[in-house]
Amino acid sequence: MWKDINFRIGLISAIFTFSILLVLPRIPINIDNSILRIDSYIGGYEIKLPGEYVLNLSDFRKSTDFGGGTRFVYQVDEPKTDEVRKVFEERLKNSGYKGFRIGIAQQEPDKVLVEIPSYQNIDDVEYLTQGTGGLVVKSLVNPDDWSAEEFSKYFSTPELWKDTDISEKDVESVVVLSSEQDLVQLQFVFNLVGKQKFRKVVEENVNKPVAIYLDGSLYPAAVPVIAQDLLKNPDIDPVITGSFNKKEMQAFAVKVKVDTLDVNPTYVGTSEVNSSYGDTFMRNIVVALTISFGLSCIYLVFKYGHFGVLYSGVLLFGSVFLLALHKLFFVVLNVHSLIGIIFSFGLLIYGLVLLGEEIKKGISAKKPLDICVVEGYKNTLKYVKMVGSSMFLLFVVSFFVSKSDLRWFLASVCLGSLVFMLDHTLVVNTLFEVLNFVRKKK
Amino acid sequence: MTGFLGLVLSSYEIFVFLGLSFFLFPILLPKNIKGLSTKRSFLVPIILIQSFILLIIFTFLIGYSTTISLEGFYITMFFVSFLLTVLFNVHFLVVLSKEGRKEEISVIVKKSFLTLFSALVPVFIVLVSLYTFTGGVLSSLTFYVLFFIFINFLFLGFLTPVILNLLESF
Repeated sequence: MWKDINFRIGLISAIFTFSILLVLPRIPINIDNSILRIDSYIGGYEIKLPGEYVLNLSDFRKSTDFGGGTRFVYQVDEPKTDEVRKVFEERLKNSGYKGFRIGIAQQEPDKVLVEIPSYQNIDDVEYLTQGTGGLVVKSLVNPDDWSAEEFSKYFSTPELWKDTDISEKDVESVVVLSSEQDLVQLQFVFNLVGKQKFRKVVEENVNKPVAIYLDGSLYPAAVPVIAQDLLKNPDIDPVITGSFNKKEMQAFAVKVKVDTLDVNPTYVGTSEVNSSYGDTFMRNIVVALTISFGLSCIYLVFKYGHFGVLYSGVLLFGSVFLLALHKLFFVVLNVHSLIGIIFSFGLLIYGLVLLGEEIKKGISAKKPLDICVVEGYKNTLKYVKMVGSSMFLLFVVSFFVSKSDLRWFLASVCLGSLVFMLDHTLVVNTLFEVLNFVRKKK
Repeated sequence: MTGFLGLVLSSYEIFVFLGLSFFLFPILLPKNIKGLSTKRSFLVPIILIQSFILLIIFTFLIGYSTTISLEGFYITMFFVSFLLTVLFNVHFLVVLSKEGRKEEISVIVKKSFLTLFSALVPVFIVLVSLYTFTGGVLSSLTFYVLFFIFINFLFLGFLTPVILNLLESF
């Protein structure tokens, strides 16, 4: 199958076409005249997958430096800004947010700024950044006065409750589950000390309520009544059910695992931020890369004559496929991945120059052209496979080890080494056969 | 320890990467370096010495204090310069293996130079285009990449032959 040139031509065409469609932004196509009526678009696809998951390929993922994002502003007492900054960072990291920036406003040292890149969903940020992350369980000051008919007063009168010494330090985790009728269940998983404290509270408050205060709130989030069953199984992780906001509770589950704040940051506002390098930065990068690609092709043609035209075609395929892979694998565009893209481009050119020099050497030695091409290709292919495979292995392992922004450089070069190998193992030899530089394999 | 050395020591990715490189590249080099008693494993000391010099250059260039926002950038640049060192030396040793002792080392260095320079011309074009069209905001990127390409050419031209001759004499 691989030796069949028609299969290889089809494969290259398919890869190239899909790559172009992947790389393109959404371009609307609106034609409305007497002959034709089209209202559609090309590029920038959002593909619906099974399980309601949407593969969003509408744009490249960009860091805040490159593509801007959303800025959340919080007011905090000035001595606490650093503490708040660290806790916010832990909360956002544990929630899976990446590429965000947290800092103190230069002109207003009591303001903490959180910037989230535009490709990330910001729905949870508000819940993650508000509240102390604390948990307090209180019991009634006068349990004998408990009356189920006056249930609502227990929510609104903090004086009715006293501390039980159970706090977020006694909780390993909070598990958020959905139940029927859109209610949310919260399961509190206590650590060993917490289990002992909770057992004592259960024994003292059977059939009586306890108040659960979350996030430093002045009023309880829930006032569950301790069921008789808990007395039989005091070590069980208790579950409460209520009409909680699921996203809020999921955010609380993250907050309870990191350090608690002494202060409750005050949310000031949200604004959109543009790229640090200017509004037209991405457009300028595209223009720069397009012009340099064109000049590189002219250089190859100038250096290698009609072979240079072939190399330009290979370079075009490789460059488009490289960018498509960046979009497909959600590589974030930032300074690091840009360096990786430049390095990968250099690698593609290096392979073509090596091939060009080998063929040139053969031609200078007055060998027949197809012999020069076959020998040149063979000599280069071994080396390309060696360099490409070792770089790919190196970068894949380093990518999974790295946790910093360096991983975007590693991802970029990893994809670059893959494209480098594919260009030479598939595209170069196929184009040589198609353009009759070598005899076609049957 | 502060500054670039401090950054490097805390960036465990570098040690994973360096360790793997030293293991992989000698294995993957051509088995026979014709006409020379040089072994494939000479690649490791050549790259080790040059990487160490790169580290010293970085430390003095960047200084003992680094701004938080640029930390990651310097680590990436160190990776790029290390990669260039590896590629340049692997290329040189492969050319050496093909030419054997037919040519003087200086001629082999010149051949390697020319091929590598030809391959890097489009990279220079990309860097200059990026610098020009983005209004100079990527000046650090342009400067450091060009600088370390230049340093690696210097290594290839002067340091690699010297180290190779020294190792051969042992």
